[in-house]
Amino acid sequence: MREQKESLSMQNSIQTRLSAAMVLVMIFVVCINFFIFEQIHMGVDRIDAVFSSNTAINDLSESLNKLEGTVYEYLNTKGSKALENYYRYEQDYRQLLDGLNDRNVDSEVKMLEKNIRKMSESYLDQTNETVQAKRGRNIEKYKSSYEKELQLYEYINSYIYKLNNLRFRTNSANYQILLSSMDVLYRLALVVIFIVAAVGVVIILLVVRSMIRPLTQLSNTAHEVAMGNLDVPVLPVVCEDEVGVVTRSFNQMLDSIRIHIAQQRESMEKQAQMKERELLMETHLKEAQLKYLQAQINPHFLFNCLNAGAQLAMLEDAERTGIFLEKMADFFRYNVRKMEDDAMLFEEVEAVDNYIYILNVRFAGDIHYEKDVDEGIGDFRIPSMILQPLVENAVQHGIHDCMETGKIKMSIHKAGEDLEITVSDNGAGMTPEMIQSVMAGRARNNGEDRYSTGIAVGNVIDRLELYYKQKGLLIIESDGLGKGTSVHITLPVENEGEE
Amino acid sequence: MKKSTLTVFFVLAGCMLFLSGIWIYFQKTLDQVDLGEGEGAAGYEKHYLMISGEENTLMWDSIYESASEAARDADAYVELIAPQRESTYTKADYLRIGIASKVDGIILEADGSAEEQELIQEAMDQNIPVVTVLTDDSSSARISFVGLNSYQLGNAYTEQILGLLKEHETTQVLLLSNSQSKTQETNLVYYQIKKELEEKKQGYQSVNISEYSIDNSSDFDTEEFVRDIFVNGNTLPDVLVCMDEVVTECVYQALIDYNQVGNVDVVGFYYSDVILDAISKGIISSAIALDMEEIGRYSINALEEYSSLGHTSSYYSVGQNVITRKNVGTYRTGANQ
Repeated sequence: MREQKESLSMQNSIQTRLSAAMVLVMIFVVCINFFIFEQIHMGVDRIDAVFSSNTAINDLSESLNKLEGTVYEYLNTKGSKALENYYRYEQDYRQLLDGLNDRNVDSEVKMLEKNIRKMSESYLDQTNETVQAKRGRNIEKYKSSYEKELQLYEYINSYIYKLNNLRFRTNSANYQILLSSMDVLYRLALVVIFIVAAVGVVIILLVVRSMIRPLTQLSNTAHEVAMGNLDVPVLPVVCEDEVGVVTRSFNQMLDSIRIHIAQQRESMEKQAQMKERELLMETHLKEAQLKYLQAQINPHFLFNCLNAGAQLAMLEDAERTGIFLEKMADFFRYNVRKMEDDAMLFEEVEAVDNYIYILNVRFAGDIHYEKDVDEGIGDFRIPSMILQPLVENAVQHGIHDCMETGKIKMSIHKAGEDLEITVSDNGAGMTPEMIQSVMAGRARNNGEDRYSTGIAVGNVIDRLELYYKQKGLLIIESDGLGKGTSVHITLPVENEGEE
Repeated sequence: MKKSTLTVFFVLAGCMLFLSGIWIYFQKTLDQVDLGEGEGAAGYEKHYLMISGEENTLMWDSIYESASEAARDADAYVELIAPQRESTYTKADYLRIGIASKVDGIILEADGSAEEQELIQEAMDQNIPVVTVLTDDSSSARISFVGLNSYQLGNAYTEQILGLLKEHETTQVLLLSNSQSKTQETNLVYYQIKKELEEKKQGYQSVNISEYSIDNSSDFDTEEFVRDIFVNGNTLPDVLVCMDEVVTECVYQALIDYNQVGNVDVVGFYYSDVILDAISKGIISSAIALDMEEIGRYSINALEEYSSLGHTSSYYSVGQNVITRKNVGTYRTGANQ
């Protein structure tokens, strides 16, 4: 597997591709150059062929001259050397003649060649005859024969001259054609070489760009990531080369970073949520505290004064006044002390009792209050200032206009895991719209109510939610206007109770 | 990547196309180069040699053309040798060359010289048949003569001369030939004309016939001699009978140059463009022309017949035409063609 991967990467590696591109371009250039040189070579060969015919004719002429020279020399001296030369040159000349045309062809040059060949054959016959006559000492014959031979020699020479001229004429024309075509070829070759060079450069540029582009993309993306932007598109793996491998790894790395960051963010969000809740709780507490800010000064001063009042009443034997002032003092003390923390259930119930007592004194015992609290549940911890505002509400909004007939009932029972608290009255009652408005916290107590201690039901609901991290703990029920209202609170107290 | 591959492909294809263009151009250029090796030239079985009397005349051109055509049909090649200015070779030399070249037959305008007769004999000895054209040498060993015999030619000239004779006066008639076309036959033509004129002229007419053979063995002699006749105005004849194409043209030019148009009547020979012009302008009265096409064709026929049968007719008569102002148009187109 690993070997396969290595071979694959070798196959696609930048080095291989770059080398392949270079080699291909080189081959391309070499092929083109080879082609051009081949054309030039062909042209030069052709020029060579053109003038080789003239050279051949000159050879023929030279050979003929030598032959005639030796014949003359032999006739002149009858030397054996001359005879020997004669036979040799005759042989040479015959060989050269073999190269000449001997067919009847529709071509002036070829027919001239044929004529030269035939005349030369006649000439050679004649020279042989002359030489034989000379050897046989037939003076008259060899002289007349020599004359004929000389005449033929002259004819042949003139024909060779004519042939040479003709050849040269056609060859000159050919040479002109070849020369001009070579000139054209030279220009074209220049153009081709430039084109080939340009094509080579373009090919190499394209190949290099195709290799470098993913690298540039990678570097740009890496730069962006380094600048903190993780939201970059996934880089495509164009080719399985080194850059491809790095790109793939980079993509994987980016994915991992993203996942990691998402996890981090989630946990941070959770933490933030928790913190926010804490803050909210604190805010609500602060709000509640603020509501009592004015009352807080008064209570401290008040309950001190009240204590002083109670003691004064005791000294003057006004017992009922003394008890009243004492309860007042207790109520305000509880208010001041318990706003920040949760409280014991019995403390809450006591605060309600004190509140009712105070109101009864105030309203001359008009309020009919009834409480039904299970035994042994006084130690449960619940948020402070929960019950008193509900009872206060029942008094303020429920039975305020019918104090004589109005009744308030508070029952606290433990039902399984929960603590069921109900505060009901038989007073004014509420429409569903009013209930909805109260539950949504819109009907906040503005605090200027003369009878209010300043804590609205909305605040109670919010604090319950914050304390128990649960909604729907407080329910308001009413059958309509004039039919009374009951507020139910369900508090999960199992754990606190055990603690 | 695909786009770039396509681009590279197209560029390469363009290069290939360009190179093929160069290659085709170069091949075509090389094909233009004829090395004279006779590539693609037709081959023939026989080789005939035609030795013309004059260089580059229209007359000989048409004889050679028709001979070539006839020869092609008979699978033979006709080589034309004309005496050239630059060489001193005579007809005899060409005959020798032909014999030494072992050609298959010779067509020759005979001059009747003894040397020529000998050479014709030598050729016949070496199985090279010789045909004479235009002018004959009946005493030679030639196998056949193609042309018009002296009797017919003499009659043709006589007819033209008769129309030009003066009334009640002696008419000076000068027969002009050049030495190359001057043969025994020419003499016969001369005698024929003389005889015919004597016979056919009216009683009140008298004719004084003289003849002159121009020695044109060296260059430009024909023209010089013709001018001499005109310069010595006293001896200017009334009728000039030219028995040669070149002589006719020289006479025509001299007539104009020496302002003798109308004073001298000319009977020409053959029709070149110049002669046709002269006839149409009325400067030359008429011209006698042989059917050169027939001469060429018949001479080849004679050679072919001889080579296949061993003998042939010793005389091929060709048609003759008299060109006058009336029919000059038909010849003009013929000559132009």
